[in-house]
Amino acid sequence: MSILEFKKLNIGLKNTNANLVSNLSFELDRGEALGIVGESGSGKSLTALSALGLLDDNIFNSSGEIIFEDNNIFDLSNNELSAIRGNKLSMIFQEPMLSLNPVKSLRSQIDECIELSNHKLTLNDIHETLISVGLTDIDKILSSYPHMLSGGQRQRFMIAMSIIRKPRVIIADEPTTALDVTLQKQILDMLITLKSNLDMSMILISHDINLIKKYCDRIIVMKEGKLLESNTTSNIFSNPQHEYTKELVNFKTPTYRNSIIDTQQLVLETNKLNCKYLTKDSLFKYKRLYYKALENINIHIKEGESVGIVGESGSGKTTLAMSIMHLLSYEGNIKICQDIDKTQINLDRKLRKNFQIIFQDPFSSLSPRMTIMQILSEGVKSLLDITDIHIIHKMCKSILKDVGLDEDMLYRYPQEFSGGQRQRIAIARALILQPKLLILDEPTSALDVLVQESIVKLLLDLQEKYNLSYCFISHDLHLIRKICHRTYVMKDANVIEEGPTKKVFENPSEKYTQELIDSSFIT
Amino acid sequence: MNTFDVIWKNFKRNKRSIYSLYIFLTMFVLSLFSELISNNKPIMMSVEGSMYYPYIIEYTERDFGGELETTPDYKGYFISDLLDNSNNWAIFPLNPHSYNSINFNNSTPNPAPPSAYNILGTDDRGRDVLARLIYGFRLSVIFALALTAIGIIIGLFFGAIQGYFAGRTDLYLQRFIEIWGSMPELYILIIFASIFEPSILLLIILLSLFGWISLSDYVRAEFLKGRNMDYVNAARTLGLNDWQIIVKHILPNSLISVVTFLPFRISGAILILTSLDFLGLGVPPTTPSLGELLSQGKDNISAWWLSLTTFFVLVGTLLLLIFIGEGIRESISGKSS
Repeated sequence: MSILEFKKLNIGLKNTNANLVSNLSFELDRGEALGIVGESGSGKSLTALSALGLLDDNIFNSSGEIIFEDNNIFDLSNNELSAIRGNKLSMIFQEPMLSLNPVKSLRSQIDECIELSNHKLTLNDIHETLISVGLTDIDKILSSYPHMLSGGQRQRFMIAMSIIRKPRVIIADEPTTALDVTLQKQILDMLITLKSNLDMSMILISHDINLIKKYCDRIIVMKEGKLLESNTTSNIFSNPQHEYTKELVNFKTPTYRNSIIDTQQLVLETNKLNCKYLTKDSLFKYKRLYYKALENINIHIKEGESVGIVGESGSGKTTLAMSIMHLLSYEGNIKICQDIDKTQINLDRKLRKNFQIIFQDPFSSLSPRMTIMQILSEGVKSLLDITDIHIIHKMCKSILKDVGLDEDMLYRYPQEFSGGQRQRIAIARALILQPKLLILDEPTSALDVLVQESIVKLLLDLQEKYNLSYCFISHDLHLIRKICHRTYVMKDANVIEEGPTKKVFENPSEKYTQELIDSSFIT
Repeated sequence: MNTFDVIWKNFKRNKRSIYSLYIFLTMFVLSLFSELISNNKPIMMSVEGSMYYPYIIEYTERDFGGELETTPDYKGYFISDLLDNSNNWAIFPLNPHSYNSINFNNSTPNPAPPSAYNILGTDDRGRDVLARLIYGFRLSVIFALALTAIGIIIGLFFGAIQGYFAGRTDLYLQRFIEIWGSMPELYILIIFASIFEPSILLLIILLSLFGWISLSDYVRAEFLKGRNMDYVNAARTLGLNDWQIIVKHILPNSLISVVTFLPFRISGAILILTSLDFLGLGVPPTTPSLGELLSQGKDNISAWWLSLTTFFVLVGTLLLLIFIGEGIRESISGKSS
């Protein structure tokens, strides 16, 4: 029996006539966990928002029907909608920092839920709910403000706020995307337990089909606002009908790359690398407090090798990348290409052409006021000392071809390109200098799944072509497994495990590594 | 397309702002040629068969057959008598008065109401109001542009250094700015006005000493934001030095805030000059200035042609600038659409 039914839902933009969701029909059964999967821009979130009547009528045009308890959501008045929202239909948003009010204490925020409740709720109910979402030290949490909690605690609190009134349906829009993998698993496990305990139905929205596979009974695949396929989870995985679904389901097959033979040259070697941040300044030395971001890190990378560095956020991965790039001050030794160290780089900036970096977010790593040509030629002029515009032009053209872009893009600005194209431009900017070592700081995490795939393929091709060494920094274990010969696992500023990727993934020696792998759903 | 192109395109869509910009620019460019529009010297004249160009060349009365070694009064009896001769002629500008030429032949006491000879009347010293308005407008706008330009250069410089280097540099400069900014600007102006002879240059220097502070705060904030962007780190890995990063990467991205404030800063500077002149702390009395005309209007309440005309010029100018500023602000905030 269905509890929520979408009938021919259409959502469009008012002033452009663009159709964002077209002809979407599906239903949610009582007690069911339904997964909606699709890349960004596929209309998943819009569908979720429309179910609660949260779309702004001034911007969006919606038609069709959303039937909840014999009522069409679109026909209800604002007051009637308010009575349903939170009480019967509830939503969990992606970013808990943005969905909690930063200037109100958590106590007053959850009190608000209780005031609006249909049935009487007591302080006892609050305590019970907060314990059921896995929070401890309830009194302290209630008196604190959102910024005082960790990301995981905030998301747990958000979940508590949405289930405290025992809704019939809960819609979770990428509830764990902003969190670390280990937290993701805990929170989703908790959410599913709550769902069955409270006899709720759930819609789980995600771009990660593996995550949905584990938690949902049925899956809907969306692309460009259309429903491509809807089936039970086991059917989708055993017998995908649509080409796009096949790609989504199949692309993760565990293969490992063999380790490189030991005789090759080292392109990177760190020796007792330490890095700390000042957290509390004082006039007196002994009163200053430091946060240790890196402690005695010893890693090495051979020529032509890909090395992965994994760990959750706060483990010091990015600090390591910044130190290798000599963008931070550090203690200890970093040797690049066997003889380049700190003092030499300070003397001669041109040595920087040997090691380059690709940043996580291609939207902030390209200067918005420069054309692609200017972006690419900047390093050539300052590091390679080439000033002849014809030679530079030729180099830019050939590197764009290497990364799979058209040469007529040279005189356009970054904002005209998609995320994947921008990341290719960032790769081109680094490779035009012909570096030996390329550091990739979460190079694909800002991109959609299938775009990620194409970037990974490009990186592998380029590695073969130019005999590059990669240092991959990522929390995405799928990516590391596919690309890296060796892997380092970082936790709390230390490297806790290292070895060939196959060994680390299949036979980890540390308990923490095992946890990481389990949470990433690699089975 | 470049962001500034997008902003310009959006700006052009706003009819009120684009017309304001055109009107203001026309007025300003015309006022740059004030000497050709409003002057008591003829542009060219022909006396007894030979040509004279009093607008360009300084002549003495002797050149025209007179006796004095001084510049002739081209509106006076001597030249008028010469021009009565049918062979002699002269081309005067549209408004045959300069900002400091006095009409000695007025039949009514000064300030004289508008007449065919002085279209907007005269002030309390017999000088033509229209001429003083034209020259006063030009002086105000040039003064405002200079003050704004200097303020922007100094503000950008300090803001960029504070924001880019952050940390200790930022701390010390910020304390310096706090001390500097707490000096009483008006008292300093009054003191300096009594020590030195007041002039436009002195005013620009004194006002520039303090005018940059508000702007440098915005630039500092933009640079603090910009220095942590990935593209700045990328530029550093590409071997650019601090100066190159500031100029080529962060500056173009922080100019938006400067551009937004531009028209409002210009109108603010015009107001400052006007109020200082009104209080008598500004430019010397011979200089044409809107503020001085306003204060004359206050002293001669019944002479409506003094206060009303100045009021309209001032309000018109400020209104145009504010419309332009509004248009810029809207076209920047709507640049994504």
